[in-house]
Amino acid sequence: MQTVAVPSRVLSSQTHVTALTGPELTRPKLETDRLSVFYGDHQAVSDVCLTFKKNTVTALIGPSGCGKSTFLRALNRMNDSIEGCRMAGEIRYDGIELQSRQVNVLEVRKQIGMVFQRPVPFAKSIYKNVAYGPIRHGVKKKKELDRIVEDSLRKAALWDEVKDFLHQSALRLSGGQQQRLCIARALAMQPDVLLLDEPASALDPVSTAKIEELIGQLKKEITIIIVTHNMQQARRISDETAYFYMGRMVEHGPTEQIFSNPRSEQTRQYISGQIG
Amino acid sequence: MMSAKQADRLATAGLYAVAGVILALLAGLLGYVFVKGFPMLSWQFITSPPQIFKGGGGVGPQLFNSFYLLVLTLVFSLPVALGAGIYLAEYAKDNWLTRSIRISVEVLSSLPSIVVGLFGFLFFVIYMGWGFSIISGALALSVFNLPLLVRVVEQSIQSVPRTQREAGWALGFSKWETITNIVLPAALPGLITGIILAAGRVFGEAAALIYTAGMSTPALDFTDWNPLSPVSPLNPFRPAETMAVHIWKINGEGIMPDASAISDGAAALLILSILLFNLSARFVGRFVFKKMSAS
Ligand SMILES: Nc1ncnc2c1ncn2[C@@H]1O[C@H](COP(=O)(O)OP(=O)(O)OP(=O)(O)O)[C@@H](O)[C@H]1O
Ligand SMILES: [Mg+2]
Repeated sequence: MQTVAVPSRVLSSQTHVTALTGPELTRPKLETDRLSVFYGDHQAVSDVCLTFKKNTVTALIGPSGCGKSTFLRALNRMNDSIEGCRMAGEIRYDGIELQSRQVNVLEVRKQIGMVFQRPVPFAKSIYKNVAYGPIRHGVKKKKELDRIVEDSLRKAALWDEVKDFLHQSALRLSGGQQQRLCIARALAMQPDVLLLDEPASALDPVSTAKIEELIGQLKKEITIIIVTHNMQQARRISDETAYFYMGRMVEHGPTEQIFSNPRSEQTRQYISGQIG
Repeated sequence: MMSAKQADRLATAGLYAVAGVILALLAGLLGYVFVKGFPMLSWQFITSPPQIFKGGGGVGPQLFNSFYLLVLTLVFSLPVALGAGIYLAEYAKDNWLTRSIRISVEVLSSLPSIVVGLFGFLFFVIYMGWGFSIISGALALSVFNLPLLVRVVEQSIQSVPRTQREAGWALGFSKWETITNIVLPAALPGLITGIILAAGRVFGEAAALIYTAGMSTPALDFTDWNPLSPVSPLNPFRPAETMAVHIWKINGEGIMPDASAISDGAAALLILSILLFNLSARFVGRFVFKKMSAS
């Protein structure tokens, strides 16, 4: 079955594939079970249990410093690279425990893509920026690469703006274009899940609108988790919302319900702008 | 009492004056060397071998030696510097090993070059038995050059922001792949600029070479490019006096009638070469960056 074959790639050995059979349709794409993250002695994320369904957009909201980025970076194990950072609890991706020893972290990052708050183009051409990942992961044919680059740039709504100078430096693009290029670069890896950390916070309204529209398109194929400080944006683009406060996940539910009728008083205050 | 504005003006004027004095010094020095040396510069001067007793000799072999030594020095020191610089910038944790590497680099870089030369004499010339030779000279220059190069590599790698690395990791690149595919290309312009500047320093070095590459050049046959042949310019086991050493030598013991004119010409040529190195350092770095970011 396709749904089983894809995630099994994150395992470096195939021993656990048998454990995957089960009700694939009802199982969440990604879930965390009592996930905690520590920076040295400082606990930035505490016992977070969250589920992310396939083809949904989940918004993570909460005041600055409440651990949204830390939580997001735990999901593709980006925190591994930070010295002194350690995790407890479980993250399951299609049922596979991501912290287990059998898991190949490079494969995880390939399938769980990430876009950062500020655009980070490589000092290369537009084409190379997008083609780099696929080249590294074994795509050699020029035709195939051309197709991936065009596809990804189209999906990121950038193709029409750059198709005539694909081989010029990516550093010459505007900030908004650079951010869409970074999204295209992530999409070129054909990820299963896309993590976005305030992807539009440094952008103008037009670029922001383009990225929001893009997210609406992308969720037909993949699962999206987005951190945002913009309540209107969370409301516009997400299906589900999770509110974080001081490292804890306070409330999680359908976006409409969270915004119109939150269960927690704290959530209500934050959404109405009473908590910074 | 001075107002803040007056104080600011005074400070600015002071800084301009200091900058002016430095510029004037530099211009005066270069002007003096060039005015005296330029009349000597001719094709004949930079290609023909020196004369010992008559006038009219050139500095052809010395010029060749300088470049050849430089190339060999870079061949020896660059790989080591790249390895050490990458290690220090990307992998080194703060422990006794890395601390001792850093201290060694510091100490090496503060050694006077004549001391490096004497070490080269004892170790390469005498102990290894290579005599006054290009190989001894190039290795001594490598010792002299290594600390600077290591620092150049480490600093240009560190100047690549962490976000670039994270972007690489987020694409599923391993640490090493991220370094070779993303960090090094991004650091390349700075690396090249630094390497060329270091090369200029090596090119003008004399003290480290006097006791290692020697103060003479055998008769060379510039049509024989077999590195094993004793008359070949490429033979690494022949002695080789460079431009800088040649200037030093003829000022001390030159007995040709035009010794001082030759020394002036060689000085002008040497400074010209080093100026070219320094100017091209900026230019090449920028050029590489442009080329690279658009391919
Ligand atoms: N690399 C790090 N080392 C140590 N502490 C860190 C590190 N990164 C984040 N923290 C701490 O962890 C806590 C959560 O930070 P995090 O960046 O996850 O918050 P955030 O919710 O994303 O905030 P913001 O909305 O401002 O981006 C903060 O107290 C922060 O100081
Ligand atoms: Mg954040």
